[in-house]
Amino acid sequence: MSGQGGLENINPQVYSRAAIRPEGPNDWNDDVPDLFDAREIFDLIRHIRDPEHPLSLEELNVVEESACEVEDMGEGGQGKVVVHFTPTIPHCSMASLIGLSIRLKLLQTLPARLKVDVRITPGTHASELAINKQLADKERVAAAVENPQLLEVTNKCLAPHQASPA
Amino acid sequence: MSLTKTQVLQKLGKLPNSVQEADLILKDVIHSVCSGELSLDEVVEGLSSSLTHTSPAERGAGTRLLADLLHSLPSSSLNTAQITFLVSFFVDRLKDHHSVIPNVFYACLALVKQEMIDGEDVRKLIQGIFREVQCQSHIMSDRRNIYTFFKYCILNKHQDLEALGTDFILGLVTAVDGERDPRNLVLVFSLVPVIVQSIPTGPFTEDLFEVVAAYFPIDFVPPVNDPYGISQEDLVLGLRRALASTPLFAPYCLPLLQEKLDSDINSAKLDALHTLVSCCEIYSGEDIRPYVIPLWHSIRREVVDGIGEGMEQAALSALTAVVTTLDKGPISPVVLQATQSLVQMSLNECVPHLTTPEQRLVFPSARLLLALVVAAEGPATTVSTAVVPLLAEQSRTKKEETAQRNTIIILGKFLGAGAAFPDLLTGGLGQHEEVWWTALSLALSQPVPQVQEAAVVALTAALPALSNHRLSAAATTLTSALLDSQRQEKLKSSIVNCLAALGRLHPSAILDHVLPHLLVEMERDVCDNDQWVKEVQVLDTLAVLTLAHSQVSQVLPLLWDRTKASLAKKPGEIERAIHYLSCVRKILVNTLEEPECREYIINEWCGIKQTMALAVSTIWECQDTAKLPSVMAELSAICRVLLATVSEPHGLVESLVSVAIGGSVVQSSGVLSEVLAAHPKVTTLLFTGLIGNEDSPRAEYMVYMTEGVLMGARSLPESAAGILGQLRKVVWGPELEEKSEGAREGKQEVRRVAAILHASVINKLPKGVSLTKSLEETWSDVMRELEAGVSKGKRRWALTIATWTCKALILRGAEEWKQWCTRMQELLSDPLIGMEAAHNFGTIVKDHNYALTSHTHANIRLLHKQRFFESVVGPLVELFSTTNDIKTKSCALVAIASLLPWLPHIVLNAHIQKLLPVLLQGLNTSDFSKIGEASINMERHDARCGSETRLSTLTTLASLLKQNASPAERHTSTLISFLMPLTTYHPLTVRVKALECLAALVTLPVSVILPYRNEVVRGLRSALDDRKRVVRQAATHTRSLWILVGAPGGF
Repeated sequence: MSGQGGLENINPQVYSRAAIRPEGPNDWNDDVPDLFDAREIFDLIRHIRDPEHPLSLEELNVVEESACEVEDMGEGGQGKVVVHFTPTIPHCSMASLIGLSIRLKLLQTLPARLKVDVRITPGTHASELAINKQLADKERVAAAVENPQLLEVTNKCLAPHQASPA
Repeated sequence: MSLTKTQVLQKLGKLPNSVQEADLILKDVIHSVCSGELSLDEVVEGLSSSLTHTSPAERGAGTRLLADLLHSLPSSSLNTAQITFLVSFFVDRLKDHHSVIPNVFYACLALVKQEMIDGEDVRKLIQGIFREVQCQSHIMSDRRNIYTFFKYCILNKHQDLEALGTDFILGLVTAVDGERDPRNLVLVFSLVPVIVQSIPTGPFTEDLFEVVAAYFPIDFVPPVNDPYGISQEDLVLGLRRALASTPLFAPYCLPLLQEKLDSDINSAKLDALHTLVSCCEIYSGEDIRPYVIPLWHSIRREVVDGIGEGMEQAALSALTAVVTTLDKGPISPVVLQATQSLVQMSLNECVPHLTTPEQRLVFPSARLLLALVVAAEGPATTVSTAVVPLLAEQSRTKKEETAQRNTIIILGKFLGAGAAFPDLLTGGLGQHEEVWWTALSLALSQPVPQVQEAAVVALTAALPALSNHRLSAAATTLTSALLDSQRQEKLKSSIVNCLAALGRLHPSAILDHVLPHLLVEMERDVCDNDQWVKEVQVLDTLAVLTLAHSQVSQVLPLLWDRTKASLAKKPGEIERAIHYLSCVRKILVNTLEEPECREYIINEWCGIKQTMALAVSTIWECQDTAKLPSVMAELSAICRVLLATVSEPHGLVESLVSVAIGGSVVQSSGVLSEVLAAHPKVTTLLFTGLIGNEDSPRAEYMVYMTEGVLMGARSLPESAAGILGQLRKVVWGPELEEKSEGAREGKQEVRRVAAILHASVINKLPKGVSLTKSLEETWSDVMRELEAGVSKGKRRWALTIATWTCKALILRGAEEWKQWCTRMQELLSDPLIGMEAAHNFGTIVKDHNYALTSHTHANIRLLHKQRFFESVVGPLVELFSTTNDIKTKSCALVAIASLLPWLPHIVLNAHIQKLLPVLLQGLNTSDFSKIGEASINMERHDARCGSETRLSTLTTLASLLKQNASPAERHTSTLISFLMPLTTYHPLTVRVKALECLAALVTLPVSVILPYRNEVVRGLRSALDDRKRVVRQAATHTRSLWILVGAPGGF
């Protein structure tokens, strides 16, 4: 069965979605501060939609909890967030767009004290270095956000939506 | 005064006049014609001067008057000769000036409504209109008259139209062609199905189709404030009915639908799919056969692309409809061939995806094949025999978790869908039963929880396909899985669901293979925690599964004995007894509807007597005073359920009341006298219990049994009023002296139950003298105890009775509630119990678990909440805005805030404009810091109320805004400026609720909120770094939404 001509990978492998984060005993205790952890970062980006499939990045295994790293020094301290993502195929032309979506989402939802770094998992994409450089370049990211066409595409990926049933 | 004939004729001769005068003349003419003074011929003659006038305007006025006259006459008043005369006159008039013709249409419409009109005249009228009239050059209302004329022709005279032959179709198509007004289109669309049913369309079928199909798909958007009330849906459905009106349209309709399906516009695709489903209902296999393959390609593409759930559903139901049509009626070899090639093609395209169950296309492919299976038996057999063995095999060979899970889920769906065809069960599916049963039971024993759960879900779907001995095997396997303490909660609840479904299919499997295991498990007397968890599980399952008489008679006595044993043992066991009792109650609720079970429970097992006896012995012997109220509450619940089945409870109620008041039975009634004979203590308990007695302090627990009887009874006799005074005495009995917190709490609970029962009796008493009298007594009693000088404890209890009485009266719609309600409003200014009175306003509108609901047969008038709220909201808002006392103000606010969560949103929306300013003030922080200062001297309870009120205000606001944010449009600026500071440096729950409110505001129109976007997005940055994760989650959600406001690709 072939789909529309434009798709590079019509039948990608689908992975199960993670369960909702279980509630901890201190979640509603205002006296115990919660540090940022990998699961929280993963929860921020797992619902981002793939630009061409009706699936989320989590279902395509583009992002995983184990590929999110956080160093949080607690309130007021500095911190660092590193996210590695894996394109579904090594020649995926959407890789930089996916990277940009992840990057934008984290910029919008993480406090400024955390430094965000979004990269391709080493060895999973043909133009890995170029895309990593592009995503790390603050000015290029800022310029991309100024571009209304590009912003329209990324916003469609970021907009909250009903998750499709399994 | 009516005019004479001559006067009328004179007036007619003077036409035309101004419109108003024409109306007056018309009245006179109608009067004369109806009374027989004036004949129709005379009227026409009288009108001759205007009908033959040289000015078209005057001819128009004359024709109009005649037409109006014809419309006003009864439909049987004209004879055929008169009609023929008028018809030839009007057909001739059709050649007149264009400004006259619209009046002629109107007259034609009146003529065709006449009963005596003969076919020849109808044909003359139609031919005249076709010949002389350019329909589309007239205005909307005149075109409407023409269409209505056609409608009456078709409805009343269709046999005469047949003589006209296809000319009628041609004429109609020409007249309708190019219609643009939606109001007329709805009419035109409704004509088509009638035409094709009554008139042969001949060579003009395609023209008739094209003239309406030109509007497909409808993209009409009603104008703002919609003056004509035509919605897009009216047009879409009308057109759909027109297109799907006859199989004759099939050769034109199907290519059109195909073309729209292949377009890029989603709404057109969706409409085409829905229309295809409607068309299939009347088409035969022969009609649809040539288009099956291209339709399959288009439908498959929609499912595979996964644009949205609605589209996929529509595509799948279209596929099912197509296959059902192919299978309909006598099947020719060609159609059979087409069906087979469709099924073969879909198998070729979909099965390869089923073999890669970890990839995306597996579910769309499975759903496509399932759509074929549910459609008809032939395709179902082919698909199932191909797919089921393959999936069963695959579930064994694929080791990866997702793959296994998906395979099993899909297998279950195929089995469930295939089970609908009995022949398939004995044939294709039956042959492979061994294979797929092994696959399912293997999956059930897999170590991975997700696979197990998928297996249970699949098994639930596949149950109808299982033979009886497999069902028994399944019951055994599921039971042992259920009792395996390693398994997860979620899995267990799906197992219970599966067993319940199994029980409906094959009750004896439950009786033989499930209940014995469960009962053995229950009998095991091990007191460790694991066993306890298991026992709770067993009881929950028993409650769901015990449905048939054979099961009830086995389980119920056993549970009851266990309850008695646990109650008699050491205090620790009492928790277990409560669980047993709640299980008994659930079983009773589920089974009492069944006549056989009811007969057993009431007569054989003697439910009411057993319950009473257990209650008495528990009150006497129970060791654990703290837990006693919970046991008694369960017993009372069981008593309520049982008593509801008694059709004539008055006797029992009367003797209970007479024992409670007088200490002896006046007349001996069945059940109670038996209980009294067996347990003589009951009389003492009941009598002393309700008035309080130092000798038997526990006697007041008897209130629970009284509650069980009085609330369970479907109606109460007048004499039940006698118990009210006793109940009040229980409520404000002596000051509580119990040392331990638990015992004290227990006593308070008894008093609360008595107060609620008191209200319940007031609600159920029949109207009459005794009700009025007892209401007066209650009023004077309660008001005396509410006086300022009485001790606070007593006043509180009086307030409780007042609140519940008020509620009971509101529910039954008795006028007296206003008096009680006014008193409650006055109490809001009371320095001691004001805040409590405020909270009790919530109690009035909030539904209690059982009291004063339809479950306990309360007397409930519709819309009582609305009525109460409507009359109370005004005074409360006024009290809030006028009072200067900060404490009263906060009481008023609490009262309003406690009402809101329990009212339907539709009621609130009417008052939201009035309430929002109050709620906003409730949010205002500065006001409440004042309350905080003022509350230094107050009790702790009142001081907490400041922040509590804010939280409850916020909660209400959030739920209101989530339902419908539009009333907040005018207050956006204030709302945002109040809410933003609450997102930081406030209690956790306040921060979260404030963020939720802000998120809900995003649904307002972009133009309203866009000015605030930057402010909100910037302001929320600090909340992103909140110390608590729950707040951060709410903040990121809200901020992401606000960033998208007005952004490209956003909202």
